[in-house]
Amino acid sequence: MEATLAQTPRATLTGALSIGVAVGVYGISFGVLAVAGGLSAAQACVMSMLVFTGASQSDPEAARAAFLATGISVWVFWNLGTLGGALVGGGIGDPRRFGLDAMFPAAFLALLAPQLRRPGAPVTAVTGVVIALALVPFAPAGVPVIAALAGVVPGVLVARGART
Amino acid sequence: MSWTVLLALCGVSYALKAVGPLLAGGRDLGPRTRQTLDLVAVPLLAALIATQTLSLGHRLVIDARLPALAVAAILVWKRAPFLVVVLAAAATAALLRATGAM
Repeated sequence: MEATLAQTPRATLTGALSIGVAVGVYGISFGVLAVAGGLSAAQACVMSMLVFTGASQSDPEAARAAFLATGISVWVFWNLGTLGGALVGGGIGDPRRFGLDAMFPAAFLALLAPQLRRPGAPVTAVTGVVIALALVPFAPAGVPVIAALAGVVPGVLVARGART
Repeated sequence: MSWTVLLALCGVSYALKAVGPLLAGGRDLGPRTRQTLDLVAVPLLAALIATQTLSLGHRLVIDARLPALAVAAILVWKRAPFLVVVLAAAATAALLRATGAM
């Protein structure tokens, strides 16, 4: 996540809070799905708190405060969301009825879109998708996504070809 | 899932995060390495999107998640805020399932 450069402390705070709320909503669906997937509410919350660590970018100085504020805001709202989702999760029945399972791909798409402008990124993405989907019927859960990393190879070749 | 497995997974997650800084160690990476590292997130995200939209266990299926992703794609293209994208996707899937369309 890129921290927006701070213009004023107030703008930084507003930005940090709005990102936090957005992530919190996402956290709710994580909580609901975690409970639906067999975790207890306590386990969902502990996992949420422990695994959540932002990719650290400590410089430049100017972005540091904004990054920290956003990080804290996101952490708080994400965990509140998980707690809320985990607590109500058992009571709402099938989370698919509310389309919660469609939230994750949508969120990942929002993260992926800006990265597709990098040289070689489109071919990398397409190759990754083909590899992952081809492996789904055979490979254990998680393996298709890891194997998709091989999509970087044609991406790098294309990026180098474009440069020379 | 047992607490032991859960904590072990958290530990693995931290260990993986430490690999980058430990290997790079503050050195300036060459342009080629940087270029490759810049691309690493792309296939992972793309594969996550594809598998979470089209797979059900070990089967590939087309269900309400696909039109939901299409709606999300249009909103991302129109530069809608993250929250709008995610909620619109959920609403699309929920609506299609509620009406029995998919």
